[in-house]
Amino acid sequence: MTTSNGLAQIIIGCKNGDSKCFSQIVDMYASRCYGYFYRLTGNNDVSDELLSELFVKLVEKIASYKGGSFDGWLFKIASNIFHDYLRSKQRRKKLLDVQKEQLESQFTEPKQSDNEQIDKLQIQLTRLDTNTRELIMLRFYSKLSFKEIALMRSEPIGTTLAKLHRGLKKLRELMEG
Amino acid sequence: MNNENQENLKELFEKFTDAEQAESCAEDVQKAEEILRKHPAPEPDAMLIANRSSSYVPHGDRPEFIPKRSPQTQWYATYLDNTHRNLGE
Repeated sequence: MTTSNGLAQIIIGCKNGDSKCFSQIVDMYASRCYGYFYRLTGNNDVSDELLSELFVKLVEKIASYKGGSFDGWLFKIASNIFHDYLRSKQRRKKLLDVQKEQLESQFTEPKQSDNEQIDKLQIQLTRLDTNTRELIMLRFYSKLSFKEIALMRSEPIGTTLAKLHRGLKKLRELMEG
Repeated sequence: MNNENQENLKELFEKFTDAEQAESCAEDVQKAEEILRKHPAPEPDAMLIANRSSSYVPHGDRPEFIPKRSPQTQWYATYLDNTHRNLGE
């Protein structure tokens, strides 16, 4: 576990163009960020692409990181990438003129690639709406506090708390049912 | 009732509801998060991550890196090269 001071040094290294520091960031965050994307998309290949995009964005934007929670900063970028992905799928869908299907179910329907097994959790997650699912995953993988998540989502903490409680309770019922 | 974010969930919920309900809400959150912990997502491909973390090299004198081996991000290298060419670098 890297201390906050250690992380600060790594970030300074990234800003100064130290490739070793950048590698350290990739190693530290790849697993959590991949998990976040996987649980939102249910697809290994898409998660891999989104993870790649996240690290490219990290390189592009690291100079603009001005302190505060690095995890919050990074997961905000991850969240934006996920939303861009949803929008691009939506545009593609319109172009293809596929009618009357719930976008959400298409986006989140687990698709198996070779040797991939969809677990029970992934199946039940598709029964939650995108917003709730994203909130749950943001909380779980970013490990941010409710206060930080509320700030990131520009909503009162009570709203975040209520949404997350409702979503987690429903997920638990689905998993135990 | 602290979670791994060092928040006291019960106290947090108590700001919005009575003590009894706050305890129940905090318990709901903790039990559901325990389910998430018991069902870890797959890990990214180790080789891919190793390639990715070792494939960034400084580009010029700027604190930027080009992914030189990852096919998924090859476009970025091309984009940077084109940008620099257009800028006459």
